[in-house]
Amino acid sequence: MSTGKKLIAHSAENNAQHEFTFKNDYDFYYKNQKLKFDIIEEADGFTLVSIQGVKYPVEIVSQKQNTYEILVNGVSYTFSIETPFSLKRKLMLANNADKSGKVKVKAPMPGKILDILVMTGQKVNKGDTLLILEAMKMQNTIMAQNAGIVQSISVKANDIVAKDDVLVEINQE
Amino acid sequence: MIKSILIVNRGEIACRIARTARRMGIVTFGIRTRKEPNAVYLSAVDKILDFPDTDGKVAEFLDIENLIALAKNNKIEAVHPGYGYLAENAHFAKRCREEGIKYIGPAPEVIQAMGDKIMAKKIAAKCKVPMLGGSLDSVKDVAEAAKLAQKVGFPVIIKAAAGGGGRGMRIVRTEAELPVMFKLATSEAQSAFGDPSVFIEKYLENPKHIEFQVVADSHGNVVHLGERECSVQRKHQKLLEEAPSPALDEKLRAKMAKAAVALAKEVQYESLGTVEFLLDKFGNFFFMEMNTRIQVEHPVTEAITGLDLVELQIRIASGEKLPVTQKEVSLNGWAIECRINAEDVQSGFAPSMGTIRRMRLPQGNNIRIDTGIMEGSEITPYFDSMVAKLIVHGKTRKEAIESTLQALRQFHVKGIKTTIPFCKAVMLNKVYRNGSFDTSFIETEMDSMVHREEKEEFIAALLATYFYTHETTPVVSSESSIDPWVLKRRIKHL
Repeated sequence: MSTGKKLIAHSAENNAQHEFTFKNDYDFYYKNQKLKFDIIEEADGFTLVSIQGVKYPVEIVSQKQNTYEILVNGVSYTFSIETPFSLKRKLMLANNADKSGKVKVKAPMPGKILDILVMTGQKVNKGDTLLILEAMKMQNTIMAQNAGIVQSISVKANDIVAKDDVLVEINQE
Repeated sequence: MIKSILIVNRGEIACRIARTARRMGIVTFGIRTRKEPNAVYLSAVDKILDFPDTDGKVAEFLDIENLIALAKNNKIEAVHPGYGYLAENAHFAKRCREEGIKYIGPAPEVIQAMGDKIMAKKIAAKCKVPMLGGSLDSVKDVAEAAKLAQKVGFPVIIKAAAGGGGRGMRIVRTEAELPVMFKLATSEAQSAFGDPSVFIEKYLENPKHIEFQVVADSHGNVVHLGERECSVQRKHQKLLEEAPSPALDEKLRAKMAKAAVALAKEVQYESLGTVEFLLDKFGNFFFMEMNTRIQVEHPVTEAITGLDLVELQIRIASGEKLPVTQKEVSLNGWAIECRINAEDVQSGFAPSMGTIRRMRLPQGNNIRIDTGIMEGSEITPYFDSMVAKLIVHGKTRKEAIESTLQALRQFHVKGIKTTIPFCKAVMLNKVYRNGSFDTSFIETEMDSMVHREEKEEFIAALLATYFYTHETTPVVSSESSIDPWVLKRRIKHL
């Protein structure tokens, strides 16, 4: 049984929490069990995690401060690593943000803005088409996820946008 | 027999054409462009020609006059268009003929007739191929569209007359949607095909997409090579195909094949072609369109017939007779093709760009991989997102599914996100496995777009924690840039 430092991996997708305790950098405990695992750098450049006789190809896609996006078998998982205290604070902040009512519509993929169908101050309903984004030769309609008033539009026609760029801000009703 | 071929395409299809042509002893020429001077397809050909410097307004593989000049200057006998780009461009085929270059494909008149969806419908009607109701001419404005839609009843589909490949189509369910959708369809038709004309058709809810491969020589012989099932689609883009289709019995297959062959005969088709049908739950089928080129999914037909379709194209273009009769064509076993695309399935199939760092390909006697990339290749926004095609052949459908799943588990790509986890999820899906899926499959039957192996989430959590405590960040994907905070921390630890 370990009495070391606690860290919690908090999932950005489903809020799942995995709590790890460790004594030093190498002894990881999960649910009071010492974990035996290997991180193997293969000769051909792949990284594998070997645990309980099974090997999983893994890849770190990105790290932003304490948030990691990791591919396991090509499936993406995003976790932020928190201490018990920082997790508590994070959950509290997230709870407050939900009530603020401003919703940012972000670009789901990089592409070119073809047409904007709304104006600032306009009232929109859920499912209304806000703008049209062309990516990989396909035209994609970006729709309002909620009803509200268009607060601001940060792009114009023919703009090239990157993934996750804020396109429109909607004030939720 | 043709002695030299200029491949006016890139990527995996250029490699695919070169493979067969070289085996047949034909000299193959590839075209190097500035966008990818080190592309893999260039090592698949015998000779490389540099595309001349232009103002870049027209994409290289759409630049008809420069491509023809390349063929003429190098005294190349024939051109193969592959799929996409100029593959169904009647003007290109016509220019080739005028310049005395053999075009590996049907005559320009046939491409023209079938490429114009309205004309194609008229021809299909003439040889009594069943069809969905709608307009037999292009629709000029929203008012006319509304009138037609009222007549056949919603939902309707607006299609680009010059369309194909799943682009330039919009489904309209209510009259209120019609104006926006009409505008979208015409503007997309204009930008994608240079022709804004569209037509309206009754929209069949959740059909199956079944296509028949036909092949015809210049001596009047027409043979069909069975069907392909292409119902696993997202936004009309095929993601996974198989041959034969689990929905067809011998009787229905014979009926649909008869219609496909009749259509090919009616237009005096010559070369390889595909007749696409929609099939409803009651076994009624309707003509959709005819593709006058080789298809992306042709390998599944090759797997079950044992024929090389590119070879057939070349032999037909050389004036030879078909090497097989209808009786000699037999369909053996089952084949599945998975399109491995550089797409982030979990973010709505958004393109995933970057460099292919590493690749592990599955191997086996029943496995074929068609690809135009290798380790170090870059996935750029210039081209479509297909990285590779995985084709698996089995004795039965069940065996093919199990072998495909096995192969997908051995298929790893590092550096970009791919559709591999999606294909796994399809292989394990109950509705896919029992064969009753239709084109709504992805939206209605898939709970998760990716298959998660046991414990994956836990492994990810563990790994994230491990790297956090070790403060080393071997970030490998080029999707991300180095965060200044990380950089600072790294410098501190030097």
